[in-house]
Amino acid sequence: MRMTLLLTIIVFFLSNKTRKGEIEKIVYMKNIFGQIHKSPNIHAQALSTISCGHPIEVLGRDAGSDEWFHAKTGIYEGYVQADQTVDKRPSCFQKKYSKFFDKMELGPTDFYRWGKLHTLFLRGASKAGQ
Amino acid sequence: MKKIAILLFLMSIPYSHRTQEQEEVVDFSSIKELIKKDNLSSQVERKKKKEQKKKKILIQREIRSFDFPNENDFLSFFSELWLIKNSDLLNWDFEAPDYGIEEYFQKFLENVGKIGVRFKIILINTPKVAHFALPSGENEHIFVLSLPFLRALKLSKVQISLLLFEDLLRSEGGIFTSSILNEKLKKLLGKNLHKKPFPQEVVAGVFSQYDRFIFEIGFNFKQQFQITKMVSRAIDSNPEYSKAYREMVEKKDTLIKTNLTFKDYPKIYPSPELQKNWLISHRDPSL
Repeated sequence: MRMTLLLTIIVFFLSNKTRKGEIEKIVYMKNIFGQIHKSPNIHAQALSTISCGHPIEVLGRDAGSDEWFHAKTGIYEGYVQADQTVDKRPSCFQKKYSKFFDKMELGPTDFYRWGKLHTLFLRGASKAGQ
Repeated sequence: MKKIAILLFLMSIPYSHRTQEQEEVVDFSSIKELIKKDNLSSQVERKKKKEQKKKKILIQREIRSFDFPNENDFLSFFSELWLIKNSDLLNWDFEAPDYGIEEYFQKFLENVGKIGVRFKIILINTPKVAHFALPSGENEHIFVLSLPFLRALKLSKVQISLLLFEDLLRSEGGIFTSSILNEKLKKLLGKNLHKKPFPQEVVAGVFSQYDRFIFEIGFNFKQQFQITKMVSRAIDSNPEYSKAYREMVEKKDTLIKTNLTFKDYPKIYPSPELQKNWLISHRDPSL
């Protein structure tokens, strides 16, 4: 009886741990458009374009660096640049100014390019006391 | 079986008749009282108010969706859109080598006391635009930087940072921004356009003004003089930076005189030769 109880507890903890390991957290795309890539490299094939505010399931960090999340969004599993995401749902241009955005008549090619542009941007910010 | 059916039918006649009669004599006022006692009417009222509030929020949201972007959002959006629409011409979608420019430039800005500046650099694989800073929101700038231009000049990281620093000061000075934000556009920024026609012509004009300024108009001598002076002052206490700046200006002067690819450079940034002289006069306090 004791053995069965112990086994049940162990199985419960193990299954819980695996579940947690699958999705670490949910983050959101902060830029107007971003991309999920096949591998953690800015020049790697883009699997899909993600629009601002879209939820991304973080499965882990890339082993090589902290710059990339191993992530899943929709049916796609790949890599997303960590600095393109935020923990809370952001305010997005296309939602804030939806009618204005619609008038720009942008298409999928533009969205893809926008995502690519944000992937290729070399970002930085000067800080005090460095 | 038939007998049972007939019996049931006969039994149902007085019952249905009775319910009809009952319906006729229902006293609604007594029900009203009951409903009041049960707080049902106040609940209905509450529900109604909730629905009205929901409807109001939806209407307000619909009206807000007609908001025209404020200045920062507008410029940030348009600068990126301009890059998107000109991606074939500017050729930024290529595998650029990793020079670590962003890290060096960040340190450079901190060294010259420029704190709180956020930037995005995009390398382009064409000499059509040598370098340019586009506005991108509050304290944020997008730097367009030509790889062929950097290679032709053989610039060091300090010199690249100085080139970007010049562009940063131009962008902060708002020279380009003020040429984009004409009076018609200024009146629209941050306004709500609900039940008003969309200003398609004004918006289209922004695109052509971006093109005109970046490819044709550029900066004038006075503005260039101011920028040269500002850079000189900012790096005055650092001999390494000052030397690198003079050398960079000299390299640019030689390049535009010897390389036809960049012959139009002084049209946008006049003029490296004069810049050289301004730098000499800046070093000589008697001048």
